[in-house]
Amino acid sequence: MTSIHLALRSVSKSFRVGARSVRAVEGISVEVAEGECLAIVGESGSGKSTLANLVLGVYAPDAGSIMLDGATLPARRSLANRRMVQLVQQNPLSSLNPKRTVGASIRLSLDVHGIGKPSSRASRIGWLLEEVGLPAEFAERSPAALSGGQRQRVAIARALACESRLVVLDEPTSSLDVIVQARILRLLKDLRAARGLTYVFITHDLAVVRNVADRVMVLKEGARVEIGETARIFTCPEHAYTRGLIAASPVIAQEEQDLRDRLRQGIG
Amino acid sequence: MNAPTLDIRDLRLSFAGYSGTVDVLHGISLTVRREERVALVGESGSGKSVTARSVLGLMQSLQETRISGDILFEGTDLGSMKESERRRLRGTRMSMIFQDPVSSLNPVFRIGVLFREVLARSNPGISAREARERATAVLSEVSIREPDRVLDSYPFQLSGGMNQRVMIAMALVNEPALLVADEPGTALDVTVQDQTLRLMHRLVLEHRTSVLFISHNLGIVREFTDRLYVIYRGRIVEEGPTQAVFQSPGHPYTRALLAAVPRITRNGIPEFDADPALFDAPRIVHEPTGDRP
Ligand SMILES: Nc1ncnc2c1ncn2[C@@H]1O[C@H](COP(=O)(O)OP(=O)(O)OP(=O)(O)O)[C@@H](O)[C@H]1O
Ligand SMILES: Nc1ncnc2c1ncn2[C@@H]1O[C@H](COP(=O)(O)OP(=O)(O)OP(=O)(O)O)[C@@H](O)[C@H]1O
Ligand SMILES: [Mg+2]
Ligand SMILES: [Mg+2]
Repeated sequence: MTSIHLALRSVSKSFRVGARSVRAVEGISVEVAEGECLAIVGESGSGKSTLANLVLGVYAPDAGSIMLDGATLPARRSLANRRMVQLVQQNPLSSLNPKRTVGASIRLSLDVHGIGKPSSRASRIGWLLEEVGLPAEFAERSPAALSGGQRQRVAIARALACESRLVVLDEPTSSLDVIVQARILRLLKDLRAARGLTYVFITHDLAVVRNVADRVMVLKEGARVEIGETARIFTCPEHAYTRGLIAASPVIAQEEQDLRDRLRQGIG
Repeated sequence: MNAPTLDIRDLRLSFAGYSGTVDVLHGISLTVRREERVALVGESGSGKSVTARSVLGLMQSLQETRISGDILFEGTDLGSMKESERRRLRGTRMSMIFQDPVSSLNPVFRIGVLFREVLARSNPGISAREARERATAVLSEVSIREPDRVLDSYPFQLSGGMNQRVMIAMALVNEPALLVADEPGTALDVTVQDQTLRLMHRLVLEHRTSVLFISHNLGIVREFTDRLYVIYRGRIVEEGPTQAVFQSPGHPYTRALLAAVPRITRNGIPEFDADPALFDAPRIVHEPTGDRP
């Protein structure tokens, strides 16, 4: 039996906005096994990023607890705690320090967590950038000098640099074209296989879910409405939201499929 | 007036930095006619956002950019306008949905205040109440369920997709002649995306708006646009009616792009092909040129 890597027990979080209270996450419980990839889907505003931030310790839960490797995490995380989980944020521009070069940002993560020998860090940064499809020279650039998709890939490279066993990815490929996206997904899969990583993967893209996830959790208005194996969710979704998503996915005509097949053969 | 809404002629742009000059656009020419919806697609880093920002006049004032070529809006050269005239156009006659919505919304103001500012650009006398009503109405059109709460929130208090929809609503509310939409639906699921597209479509019909549409989602490009330009490493490599390009793509990059679209398998769920040849397909590197100081 594989062990439970991440466990959430009845986790809730509300925010105050003026006189209102916004219930972002309500009583969510879920267990993620070592080496598993759990996808989280749900409509915009359903609490996915809040959940990611709770796991990271950016917010403390109002109620409930979060456990890593069987131990409850304190509200205030230690450096050792922080090294256990990395986040790729939904908005890469605001997550990268604009005053630092890309290389310096990644380097800082390596230094803080004492990863690798100091002398090997520069080459490690170059290697990481190349793995996400960017030239190593991009280490010298500032985030402002990158395109949207390039920034998103830098954020992925930085999260992977720390070698945390748990990685939370919040819409990591949403602004990437299909070719780069396929490349990143392959990288994530390879790393998971090689290092036994556990992923919590937030996305609204069902093709991505299908491609990477073992199980899918569906959120609605902060609550868990459905969870199950990926294949089951796609073949017999229980919840109306899940059914709606699947129904709204584009259907491609046969002749177009044939054209694609021909194109693919031409490329290979 | 027969002039196209947007006419870009031989746009060249480079960034000067201490590691040399990076040429990013190598002579882009494209037109968007009245009521036309034109897509600009291409690889990450190929120059789509830089082109879009140039149209809005946002690159011209940056110190490190070298820019040449003409950008004509409804027949008038943007280069011949004063910065103040260009600023007056933005948010009124032409508006943009930015790729990165959170950082393009001013973090120190509530959404309601930002919205009123946008509305006041085309209607300086608008009252607070009127502005709030208008804002509430457009927000519901982009499927925002609690417009009041959203208007009372700061951008950081909203989710990624909520900020994106606020941005879309702000770009549409003044009924611009030209809408530049840079990856407008990335944080939205198919259902909401569909709804915002329909809204844009209605705008095109009712207000004769023209759209320059940047997206990596080829399904949406196919459904929503009339004509298509493919940009590759800062050059337009293919152009034509969207349907025609999809049916017989000419450039190798366009072919690779179309082939990589997730395919529908078994139960109608799109799935990627694990074809490794695609992963290592063209990758953008703008080689630094010129002298290093
Ligand atoms: N710091 C905050 N202060 C107040 N409200 C917040 C805060 N963060 C999130 N919220 C609210 O909590 C709810 C859930 O937001 P969250 O960002 O988790 O959604 P999401 O599922 O990630 O959506 P999206 O797909 O659009 O990114 C939203 O209604 C949002 O406005
Ligand atoms: N200030 C800058 N200095 C140097 N290079 C820059 C600067 N800003 C952008 N670039 C480069 O210009 C190229 C084009 O960027 P742009 O943002 O237009 O790409 P894009 O096509 O929108 O890509 P994406 O799909 O990833 O958003 C990129 O390769 C980027 O690295
Ligand atoms: Mg989110
Ligand atoms: Mg861009």
